[in-house]
Amino acid sequence: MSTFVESTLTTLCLYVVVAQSWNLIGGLAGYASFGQVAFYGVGGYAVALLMLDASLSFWVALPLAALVAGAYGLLLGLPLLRLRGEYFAVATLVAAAATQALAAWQPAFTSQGAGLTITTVGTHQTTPYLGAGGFTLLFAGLAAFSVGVVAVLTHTRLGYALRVIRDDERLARAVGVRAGWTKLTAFAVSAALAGLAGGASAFRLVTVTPGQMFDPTITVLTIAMVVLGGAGTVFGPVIGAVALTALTTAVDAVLPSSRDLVLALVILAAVVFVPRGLGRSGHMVRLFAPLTELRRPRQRPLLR
Amino acid sequence: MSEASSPTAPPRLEAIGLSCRFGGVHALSDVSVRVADGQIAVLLGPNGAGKSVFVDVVCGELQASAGRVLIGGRDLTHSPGWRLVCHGVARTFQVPRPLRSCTVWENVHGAASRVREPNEHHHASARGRAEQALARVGLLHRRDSRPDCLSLAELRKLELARALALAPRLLLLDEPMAGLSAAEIDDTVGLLAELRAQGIAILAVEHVMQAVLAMADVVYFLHQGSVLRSGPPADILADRRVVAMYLGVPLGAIAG
Repeated sequence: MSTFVESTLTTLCLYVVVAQSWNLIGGLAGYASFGQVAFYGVGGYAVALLMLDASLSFWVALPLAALVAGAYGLLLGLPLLRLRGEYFAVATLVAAAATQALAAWQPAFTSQGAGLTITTVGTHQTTPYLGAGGFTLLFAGLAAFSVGVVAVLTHTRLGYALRVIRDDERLARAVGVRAGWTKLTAFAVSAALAGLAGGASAFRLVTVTPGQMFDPTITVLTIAMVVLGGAGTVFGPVIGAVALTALTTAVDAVLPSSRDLVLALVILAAVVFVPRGLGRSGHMVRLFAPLTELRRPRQRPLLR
Repeated sequence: MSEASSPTAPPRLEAIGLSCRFGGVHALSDVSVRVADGQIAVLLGPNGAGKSVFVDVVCGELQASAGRVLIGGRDLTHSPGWRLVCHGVARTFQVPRPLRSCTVWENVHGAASRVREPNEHHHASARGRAEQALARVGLLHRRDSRPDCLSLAELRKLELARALALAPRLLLLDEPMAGLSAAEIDDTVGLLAELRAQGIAILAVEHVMQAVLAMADVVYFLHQGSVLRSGPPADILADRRVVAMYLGVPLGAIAG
């Protein structure tokens, strides 16, 4: 495989992970988070600091970073999940900006603006750099894991609880769903997934800066992918990630300066023409229905 | 009925002096209601009498400003709504509230999965309970339909099936017959009588007199937030004050 193909595949898989992370809280629970990049950044910084200061292996640091991001999700979710709709969206947007400001303000996190550089060569390295092929494999594994997490959650009682919360919180209480606790769990798992993506990215980038790890474009692109593919479905975010990654790669090759303009037009068109997402519209439904719809017992026992 | 006749068992639902205030409006004042296992109690009263508010207070949707709610002898006055489900309380809504993005089966099975019964394999029990609930209300043949394709009668059945899937000991039904045809009302009355025979306590808000007379063991007549009279249905309907309040005839006109 050429380096170009490998790096494109890696980016695609990275976006699948972040998209599934957003899908959990935004798609399944109906709480549109505009601050998902905060957890991505926290995960990235956690990996960098654990590898640098604690001299931990990347393979230990990565799951720890997911835990740290999940804990940060609990911390933010506790107050923020009391809000709904656009209030929740704005609050998460601000929380992400505040997190970025915190990272930029703390000298230990930035080494005076130069960014943290993970040691990947010499005697102080904790884990050898994975290389292009290695990272493609790592991110593909993480993408498969994130799809698995969403698929499993969709089919458990937590999945039903999230759907009731999304559609009718009053009904949720009437069927015994503890809404506050359920939302918090989903938010923490979603944050941990984003942290996983951020942690792996930090190692891939070697040098992490607040501007890169907390780039709001990541959130925007992720939301666009999930909405385009079909929020709340298992494979919709994957379809969205493939579509938008292909599009941005193509536009970058042909008209690099008009990338944002083309993206904006496509997202607008998607919202107008396929508001429920590609994974749920027209002939795509027939293609993907067995995968994207909730399993119906007896009829199509595809899963389990 | 056997449990109800046991002298030591506390009533399934005992509301003692319940009040609920919204600012200066007394939606409920000092309402006391008892429903035993295997008993059907009906809340009757004109619009705005506080019947739905009473149901909402009992199941934790609204906060009582005074009084207590005992479920099976346990004080659950200030428990959040979701916890009451664990204590065997299930309700239906006056306006059916299905999940429109889910099928009939997903609606009922999802609810069933929220409750765990001891000593049963979890998946098997939730599935079994959902199937039983759908069969019971006669909606099993519509299991794969979306709620948007159901008639009002079927939506009411879905409400009931979802409540039954929670394995309730106390059912709170907010106007389960509203909008149904005479034949459908008879079906529902028969179903509720069966549930009563199983020992489930039922508290229903109901306007349909035919149904009230056919099924109620006890009627509470609410007016402006308090219980005006309670007793067997025949006695309540023979009360001139009740008839006057219900039909809006001035008291003097009857007295004369």
